[in-house]
Amino acid sequence: MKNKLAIGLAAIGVAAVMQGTALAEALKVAVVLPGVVTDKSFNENVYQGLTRARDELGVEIAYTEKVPQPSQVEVMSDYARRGYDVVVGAGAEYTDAAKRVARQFPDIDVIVLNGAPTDGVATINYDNQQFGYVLGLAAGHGSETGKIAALSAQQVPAFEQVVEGYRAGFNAVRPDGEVLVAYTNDWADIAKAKEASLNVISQGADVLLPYLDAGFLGVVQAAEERDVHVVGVVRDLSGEYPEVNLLSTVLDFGGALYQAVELAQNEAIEPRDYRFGIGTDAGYLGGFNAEASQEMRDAVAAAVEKMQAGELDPSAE
Amino acid sequence: MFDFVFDAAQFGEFLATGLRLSMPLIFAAMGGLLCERAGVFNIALEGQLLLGAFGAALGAHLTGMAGGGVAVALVFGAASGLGLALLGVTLRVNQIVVGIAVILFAIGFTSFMSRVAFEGGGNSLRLDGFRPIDIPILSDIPVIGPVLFAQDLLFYLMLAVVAAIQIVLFRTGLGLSIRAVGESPATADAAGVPVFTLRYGVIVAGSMIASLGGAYIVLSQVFLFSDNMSAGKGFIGLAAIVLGRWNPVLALLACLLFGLFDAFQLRLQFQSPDMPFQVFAALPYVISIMALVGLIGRAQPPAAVGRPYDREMR
Repeated sequence: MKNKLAIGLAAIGVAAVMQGTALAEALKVAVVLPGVVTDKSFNENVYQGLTRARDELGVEIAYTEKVPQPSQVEVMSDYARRGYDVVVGAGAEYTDAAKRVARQFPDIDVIVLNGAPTDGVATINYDNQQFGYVLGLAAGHGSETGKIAALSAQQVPAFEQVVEGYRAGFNAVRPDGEVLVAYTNDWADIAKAKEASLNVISQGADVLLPYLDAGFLGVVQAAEERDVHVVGVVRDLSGEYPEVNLLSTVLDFGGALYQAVELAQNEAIEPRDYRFGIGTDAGYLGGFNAEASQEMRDAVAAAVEKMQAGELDPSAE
Repeated sequence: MFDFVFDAAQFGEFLATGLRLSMPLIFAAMGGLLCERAGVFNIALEGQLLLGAFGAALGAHLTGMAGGGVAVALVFGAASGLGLALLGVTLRVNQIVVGIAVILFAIGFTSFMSRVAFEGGGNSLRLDGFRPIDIPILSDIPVIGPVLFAQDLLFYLMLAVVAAIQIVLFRTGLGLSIRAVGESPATADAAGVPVFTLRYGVIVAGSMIASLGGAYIVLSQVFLFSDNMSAGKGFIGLAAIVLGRWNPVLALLACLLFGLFDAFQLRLQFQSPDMPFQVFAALPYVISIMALVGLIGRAQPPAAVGRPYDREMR
């Protein structure tokens, strides 16, 4: 904690010095977030990308936490009025607000992370199928029962894309394998996520993919108790949960934001959809389970290579 | 669709899931029911679950024992009850407003304090919770045995709480006084029943019971604390009170209905992947509305519920 504080203070000091000297014309970037920057998940990840942009690119930053739906437009256009050059909505739920702000302030760059392609807005997305595919591939080699599962709170497009790839990857190894999908209706309800997980495990699933906020903890716990595996899609679970993690991929939204800011600084960002595949700076493989077979590691590595080369497109299957 | 019913292991698993999902609801409903029987709305159940959950995590974290968690949860529950009684009974503030205030306070307080109290955040905790206790012989009964007789301490405590409320409310003089205060405080006052003392006592007791629901989530289910982890269970508890017509045993059954249908809908999702999952997610609520209008008839709340008592008022 103290360390973090010290680093934070040092960073503020550096920023202050930099502002005081040469960077009167520094790019001003504002991020509007749905949650708090200490959530150990999406928001914190985005915040880290933002502070990295400040430290390494020398841009001036600002952010607002926990902005609810009704205030999105107000908060974002307030930043635009105050002279921020780049206004970022962190999450698909900002898409509509971003569209209105972009229309109202055509001179600034409006960016939405994970949002659907929208007129006038730069959206940053992942080829979710690719990430699902490698996890499904790993599950195909790791599963003993031939049944795996994916859990989310809501039927959102990004999750459906992950599942599409997950199923394709799994069936590539096990053509008759079955993928169970369950929804808990609550991103943060850990108890519900745990019950839903126990439920799919009792139906024979032995690899689970959580696509949840805090709820993923319930999935991990259920897996620990019943001695099955989890594959992580958003963050790397191999460090904290090495026993249950089979393989993780990382969707580094902070890294994606950093790249977008870099583009904006060079005045090269356009209002279009930017898409990151697997094996880029912003989306990559996390850790394998220590006992993962060489066969699994090879298969995953080969698939990543093929997808990077454009020879394999799981979304087309 | 119903084939899991004929598979003993699957059916046992289903019942156990339903029971676990019901437990926080039952504690919340019992706490709220007690308060409403004494004429006080306890809308704050959601907040009290959250305070109980945080208290349980804090106590178990500091003492290293599940029992310590329960103790701290009860203290937090009692404190919220005291605040509720002070505002709602003595100062006669609108009880709905007070309840919402307690909920908002609980959300902010527990989120903030969990960052202060738990290094690395409540999400990274691994608490020592309660472990199931197998009751000899009875737990060997197929299907029912593992579900009912291999539970942890809080489950047996829940049964004791429901039985105690039922007996106290309907079989003792104290219960008669509580119900009198809830129906007609002026009459009870004239008959020498200490209206204010009784309401204070009942609110504090009810709030402590509700906080046990939060303790159950932390100490028996997930063994960590996470922001806003009560996730609306307190509000379902409120609905269960109405569905159970302010009767403890019926409210218990209402909570079990919610829990079992929640477990049921989790299963149904796979059997019919083409149906939108929201249809299944809404199932527990649809069932309870149907039960409310169809089976039970008009529910009659205690006559004085929600009205602060003022001796000088006509």
